[in-house]
Amino acid sequence: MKILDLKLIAFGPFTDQALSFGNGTPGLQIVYGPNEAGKSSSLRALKQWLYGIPERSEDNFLHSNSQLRIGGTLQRADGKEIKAIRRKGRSKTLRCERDAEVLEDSVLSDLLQGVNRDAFDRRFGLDHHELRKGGAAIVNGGGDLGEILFSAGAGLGNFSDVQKRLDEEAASLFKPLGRGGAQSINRMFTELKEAREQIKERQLPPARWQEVDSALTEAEGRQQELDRQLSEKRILLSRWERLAQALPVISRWKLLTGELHELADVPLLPPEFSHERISWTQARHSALETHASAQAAIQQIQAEIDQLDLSQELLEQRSAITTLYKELGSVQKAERDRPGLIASRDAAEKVALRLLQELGRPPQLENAEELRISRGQKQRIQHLASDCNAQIQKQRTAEESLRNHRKQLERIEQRLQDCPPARDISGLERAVRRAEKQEGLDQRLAESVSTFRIQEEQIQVELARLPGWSGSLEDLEPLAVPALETVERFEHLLTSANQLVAQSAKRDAELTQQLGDIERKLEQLRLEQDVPTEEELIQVRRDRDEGWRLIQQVWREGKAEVHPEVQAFVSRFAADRTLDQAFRELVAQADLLSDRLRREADRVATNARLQADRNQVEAELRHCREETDSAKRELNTVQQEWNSLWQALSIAPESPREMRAWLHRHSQLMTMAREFRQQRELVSSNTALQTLHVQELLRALESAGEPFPEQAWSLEEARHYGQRVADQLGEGNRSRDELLRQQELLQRDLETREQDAATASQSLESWRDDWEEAISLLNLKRESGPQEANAVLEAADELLDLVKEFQQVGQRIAGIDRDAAEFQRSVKELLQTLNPDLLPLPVERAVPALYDQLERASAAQATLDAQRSLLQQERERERSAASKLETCDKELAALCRQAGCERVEDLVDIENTARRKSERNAEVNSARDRLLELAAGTPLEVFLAEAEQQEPDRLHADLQKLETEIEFLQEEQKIVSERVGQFRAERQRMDGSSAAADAQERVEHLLASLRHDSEQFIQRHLASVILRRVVKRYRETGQGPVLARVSDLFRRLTLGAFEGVRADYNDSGSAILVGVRPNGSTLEVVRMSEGTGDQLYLALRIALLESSLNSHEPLPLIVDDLLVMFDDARSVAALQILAELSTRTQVIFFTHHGHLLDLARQHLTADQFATPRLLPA
Amino acid sequence: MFKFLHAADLHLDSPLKGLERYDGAPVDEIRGATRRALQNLVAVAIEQQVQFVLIAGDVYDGDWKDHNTGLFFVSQMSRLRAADIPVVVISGNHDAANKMTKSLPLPDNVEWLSHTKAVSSKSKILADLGVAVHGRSFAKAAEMENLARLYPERKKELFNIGLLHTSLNGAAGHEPYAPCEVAELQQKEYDYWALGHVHTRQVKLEHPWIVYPGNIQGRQIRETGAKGCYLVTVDDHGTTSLEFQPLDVFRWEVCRVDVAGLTTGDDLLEQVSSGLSRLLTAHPDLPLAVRIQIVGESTLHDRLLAEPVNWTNDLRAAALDDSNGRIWLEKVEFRTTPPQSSDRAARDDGPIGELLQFFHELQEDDTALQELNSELDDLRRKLPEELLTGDQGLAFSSPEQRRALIEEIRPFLLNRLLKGNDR
Repeated sequence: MKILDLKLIAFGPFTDQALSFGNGTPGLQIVYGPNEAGKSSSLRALKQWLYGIPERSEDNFLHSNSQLRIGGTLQRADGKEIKAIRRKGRSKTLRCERDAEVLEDSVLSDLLQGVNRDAFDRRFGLDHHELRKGGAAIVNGGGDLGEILFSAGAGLGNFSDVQKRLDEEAASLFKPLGRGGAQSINRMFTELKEAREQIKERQLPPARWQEVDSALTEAEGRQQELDRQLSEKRILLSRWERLAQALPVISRWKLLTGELHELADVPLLPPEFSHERISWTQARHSALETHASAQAAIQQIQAEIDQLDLSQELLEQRSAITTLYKELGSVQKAERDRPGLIASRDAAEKVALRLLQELGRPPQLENAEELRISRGQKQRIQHLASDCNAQIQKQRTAEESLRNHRKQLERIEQRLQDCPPARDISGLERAVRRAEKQEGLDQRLAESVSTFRIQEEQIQVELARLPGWSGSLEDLEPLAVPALETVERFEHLLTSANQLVAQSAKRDAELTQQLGDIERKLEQLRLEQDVPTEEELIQVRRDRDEGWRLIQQVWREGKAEVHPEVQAFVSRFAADRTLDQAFRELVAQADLLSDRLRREADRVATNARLQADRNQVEAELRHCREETDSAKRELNTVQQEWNSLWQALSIAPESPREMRAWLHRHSQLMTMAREFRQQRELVSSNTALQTLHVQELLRALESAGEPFPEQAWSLEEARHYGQRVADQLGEGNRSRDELLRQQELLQRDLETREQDAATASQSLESWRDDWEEAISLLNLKRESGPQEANAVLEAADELLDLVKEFQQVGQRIAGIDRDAAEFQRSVKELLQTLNPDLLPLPVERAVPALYDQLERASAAQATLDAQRSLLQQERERERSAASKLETCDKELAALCRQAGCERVEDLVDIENTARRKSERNAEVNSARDRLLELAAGTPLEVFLAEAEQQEPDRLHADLQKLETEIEFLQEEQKIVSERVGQFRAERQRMDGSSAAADAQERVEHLLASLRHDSEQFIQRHLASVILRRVVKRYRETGQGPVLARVSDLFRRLTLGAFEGVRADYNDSGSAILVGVRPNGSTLEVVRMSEGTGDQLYLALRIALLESSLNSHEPLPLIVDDLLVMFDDARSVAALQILAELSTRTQVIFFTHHGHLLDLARQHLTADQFATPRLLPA
Repeated sequence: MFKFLHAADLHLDSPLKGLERYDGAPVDEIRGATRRALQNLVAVAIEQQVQFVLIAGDVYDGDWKDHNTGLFFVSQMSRLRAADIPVVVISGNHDAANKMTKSLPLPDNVEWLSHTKAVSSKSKILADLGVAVHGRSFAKAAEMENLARLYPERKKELFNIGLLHTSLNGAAGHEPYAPCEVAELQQKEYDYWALGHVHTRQVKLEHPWIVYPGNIQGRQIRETGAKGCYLVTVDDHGTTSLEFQPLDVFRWEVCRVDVAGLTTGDDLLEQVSSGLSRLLTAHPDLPLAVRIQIVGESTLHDRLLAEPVNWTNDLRAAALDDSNGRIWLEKVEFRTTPPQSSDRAARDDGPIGELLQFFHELQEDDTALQELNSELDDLRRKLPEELLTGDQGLAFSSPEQRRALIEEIRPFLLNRLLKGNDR
């Protein structure tokens, strides 16, 4: 099978493009496309055309999924061509050439001999990627010949990995000698064993349960028995122990009872008796002592009171004396201040008098009052004084400003005179604006002119390219060309006429061939042996009958044997024989013929049929030839009509199909002519517009008074010039306007300033009048300044302050003298009544002396009050002690009565005897309580009676024996109890636990896992075994001739670095592949470089592909950029090998390396390769 | 009116078979399943206030030697005793084989009928209800005698129940023990035949009632669907009605997925998910062991058989997701067939052709297959007996098994070889 062409109707970046592969001729088809030029897309399209567009296509970015189409032509080995189109979809994706009907998938898959997409890729696809993998696998693998052949034969780069992985995976699951470390199956064997042991351990055998159950029952019985015995013995022991303890208590009890009997008369005193007696005796003693000390204290206090002396009058005048004593201090202080006050009064007077003089007044203090002015007047003067400088300054500033203003006005007027006159530029500006609106007009004009020129040229070119036409466009335009429909009608007519001719010719050929076949078969039949015919039989029979007639004649009529008729007859068959011999022979012949006719009826019939066929075919052939002639005549007629159709145009027409193209071109030309005329219009209208605007600008400039230079202006240049002039003139006008505006502003301002100056002068004058009036109060003139006025005002203030001070000090001195006299009088009055002795003394001494006496009288009074209070207390103490003494005597008497004695002194003896009686009583009670306790509920009399009967020594011995018995029993009880506990615990553990069942579940889980992993192992292990066997078999069957070819290719690809390869055996006896050096030495593949590995793989791959061509019809080999890693020399070798291969099977080589193309051109002959390119379909 | 429970085939402590542990599988949920099913039985009896409970044989599993199992049974019977519910039990073939049956002291509410002759139950409560239960235990595991013939005559005026462990006239997958005909049972004129032995629940006849309740807990993939006992109600006119009571704690189901027409793995996963979700809806709340059978003619065939482990893992993960850990994927069976069209003889004269030819020859040549099979002897010497025998046995003792094995290896190996060579 070969691929004739590939049509990229709508796929990836392509629309209606086609690749044509040289019509199936031999030669390497090198499809070159640089990166992004669609090489990969074409390669993909080729495979998807053959095998369908995948569900998720990456080639639907330009055409939608439903539009995707790849088409092409395939050629069968017998030359038949099949055209098919592939669309994208899930089913029925293959379509006929016209894309109208579905084509059965089997049409294509038959051609591809059932090789599916994967297998096609693997076996008839070869790329750099596979080469690298395959090469690396050879070098890194063990060099095993079988593996190498297998992987290269199948196009499997990764083959040795597969085998290795299978083995590794199997080994990770199971190893016959594995101990369960790394292999999961081995590990599970161990776990399974453990789990099964666990079941056994956890299972409770029914026998064991019964055993434990009965042991427990027995132990529990014994435990109960022991409990009973121990209980009895312990009761006895307790009883005996009590009796043994009771015996000494009983003896003691009896002894004490006797002693008590002797003390029967002694009274029983309460336990607190002695204590009461002692405390009352002590209380009495202390009461006596208190009484005596109180009496002594009373006497002493009385004596002290009697010695006190105090004056009552003095105490009554206490407040008057105290007041005077306090006033004395302030009187004395005023006396001391008086001389200072007098001095300061005099000093004030002196200063005031001097100030009066300075102010020009007579030196009497009374005159000072004249200088006093009101606060309002004073403030007015101060205010006017502060305003003085401001008024003067204001007037000066106004004058200055007026002067400056006038100067400025003069300067502006000067500049106005220097300015040029104003110009009118509005016309110019309008013209410029209008020109601006036509921006780009120049450009458009230039472009339209250029387009115009190009179109003109194109039309000339197209005109020249219109086949058969040599006139001008103007000549062509009016001509009526045939309609497209007419051409199509002729196309149809011609096609069908041609088809008729062709069909007839084909029929002719077929019939001729049939005729030939029939002739051949007839000839064959004849050659095999003459086929007997009916006619022959008739003839022989006729002869035989003739012979018989002759014999009859001879025999009946006696005709001589030598009769000429007889002679003639005999001589016809057998010259030297007799008539009867001839007759016998004829009879035999007739029999033979009839036998053969019967026997060889088939051959006879075939012969007859073939002859009939021949006649029929000959008739058909004649008919067919007549038809051919008629069809040819028809064709001729149509052809003539076709030619005459074009005569009007003086054109000798090509085929309708080509003339359709001609019509298409003609129509395009007409369209171009229309566009050309439009363009011409455009150019002329743009030129007119340009001229119009330039003229307008010119006029505007003249009217603005600017001369217009004589030169050819473009609109843009003219506009720029006009704009520049307008800008300059506009600038002059604007600065003149600005000066005029300033002049107007300054003149308007001048009047205001003159008014300001006048107002300032008036204000100053009015201030001077006010000032004069104000300072007249101070006796000052109009000329006096503010400083003078202020000095007068300050001096007057100082004077008035001094006068005021002089008056106040004088008043204070008079007050002091008045107070001193009043104090003297009060002192004398008091002394007169209280202590006239002190009168002669000055008051400063008399008042303190009197106050001293008053102090002393007050102290005596305080002492007296204290002594009286003490006396009261002591008297109370004396009375209380007497009462207490009485109580004590009463209590002690009562105690004597209780003890039955007269005197307190006897009490001590009685107390001692009573205490002894109490003690004995207590002991008896205690002994009795103990006995009751030991009797433990038995009535005391019974218990005592029982005790009476015991022999103490014997009781002791019995007791010891009983204790030993109990000890033994307790020991046993302990042991039995432990056993019971043990069995109970054991039986408790037999609680229906599911531990064993759980372990059993684990076993089941493990079995399931084990099954799963085992299945994995089996699959991998057997796969590996099968693979090895197949590899071995493949090596054994395919090795010989292939290796010779591999050797050859390898030598060429390595440029002679290796002589070839051969099979060898390694140490373990396996067949391996080695390279052979020109000197005969060998190199194991593991020692080869990677590049050499690649070359070896390529050699193997091609050799194995070639060998498969011997037994099967070839499929094209699709090579995708194979030689990326090859240097130029090796690339050339590879290209040559591929070119050679292309004589046996189609080889399509996709590449985006341009140098490969160059190498092909340099080193391959023209018929060894072709370079198909993508062209419009 | 009275009510009773009819159960059989408890097989206490017999393990669930064929479940391989994997992460996320509901391991804890299935632990002690048979025990918990029995606990459920007792709970139903108490809750429904039944008058008595019948167990038609196979309380234990034949070769299980753990007395704890018996003690557990006793503990459950004691619960019924506390509720004053008598129990009548007969030995089935498994019980007859188990020593525990004889040595275990049972509480006095349990009456285990004789194995020497057919007897009627002595329970006082039954007599008061007007019920007679006739039964006979198996004396030995392989009881081949027709026990039904020996059962006593019907007792007049009473509701007669026959308690019998039998395969009747044979049942698939069950030993043909105590054989008898349905007609023979009919002739006894009992009111109800409480049968045991066959693990599939079925009502053989309604007049009289001849009933298998099935086992109470499914233990392997052949025992699918809900398992439990029958609650039988007999009204005052003697009219009997049956109500099934599920007792199981874990169920087995087969999910059959037809992949005909499917082309992608996602399609398959989706199909499986919808099958599983149907099962989850049908059995709310209970954990399930599910076997997925993938059938149908599909282009997926080769892809499935090429990487069955990966597919199984993917399906397990999907099942975990879909069921929130409730489904244990017991196994995935790939029973698909390749599309017819791809069977056409393709030209493959290279090594792959050689490989295919080799497989083809193997299928034709059982001697070669057996020789290949012997490559696995190392493994077999160590594998436990359970995994070697039977239909699924790894001994591959029949030619069919060997051929099926090779049929699985072919796509696997082809995929390994061709995978990664795609361009």
